[in-house]
Amino acid sequence: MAEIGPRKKRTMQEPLREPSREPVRSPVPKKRRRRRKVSA
Amino acid sequence: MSEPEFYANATLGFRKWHFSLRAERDEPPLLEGLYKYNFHEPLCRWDLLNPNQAECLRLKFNPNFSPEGHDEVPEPGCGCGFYAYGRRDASNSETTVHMVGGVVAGWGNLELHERGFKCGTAKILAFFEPTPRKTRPYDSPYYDERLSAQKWPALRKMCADNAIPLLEPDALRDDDEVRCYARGRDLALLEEQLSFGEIPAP
Repeated sequence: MAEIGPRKKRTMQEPLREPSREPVRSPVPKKRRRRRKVSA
Repeated sequence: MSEPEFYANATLGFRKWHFSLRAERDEPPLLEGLYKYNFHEPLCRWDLLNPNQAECLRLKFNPNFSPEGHDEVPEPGCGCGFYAYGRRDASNSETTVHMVGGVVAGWGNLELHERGFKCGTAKILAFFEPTPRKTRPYDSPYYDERLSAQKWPALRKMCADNAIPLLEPDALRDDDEVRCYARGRDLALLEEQLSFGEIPAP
């Protein structure tokens, strides 16, 4: 790693949540269910 | 740069660790950093379950070396911090009989470099399975049949015990795959941060 010269330094906040080992979001958006009309 | 810039996400990185079995069979294998402060001091041992906090070994083992010290890790001008590369290449993260390659998320203080970063906090996200060409006899100087027969089962058990995914040897070599992996886990990529704030070409 010695060959990597410093280029920029930035400070980062704590992540919003701890990084997860598994995907935290579904890669495919879920289909929205249509609401059934309830007759009065 | 006057003010530090802030990021909400951890950064994706690739790196390797020393992977060694212990004499007692019941003891889990050791995962340790590649570099040590000097011959007499131990390697940095990584926690498999929790985020790891880097410390400056130069200050820890030789406080007289720098009397003023420094509070932040990594500190510019000092070699301390956890190291990781922003992209996989032929040798920076593959698993051999002596070393295990894997994926980390780095955060805390983060020092960006052209090909990688140093950070104060890092969590192990995944390991790579052994590279096939390094597991066949006579193909590689790294090959050791007896050792690999002990190590691969130990690696798989270590991953299963700690819920660490074991990825295919060639996983995450493709840029699109890396972007997809990072996006699914809310991770930032090194290249995105290096180009952040630069004026786009007209």
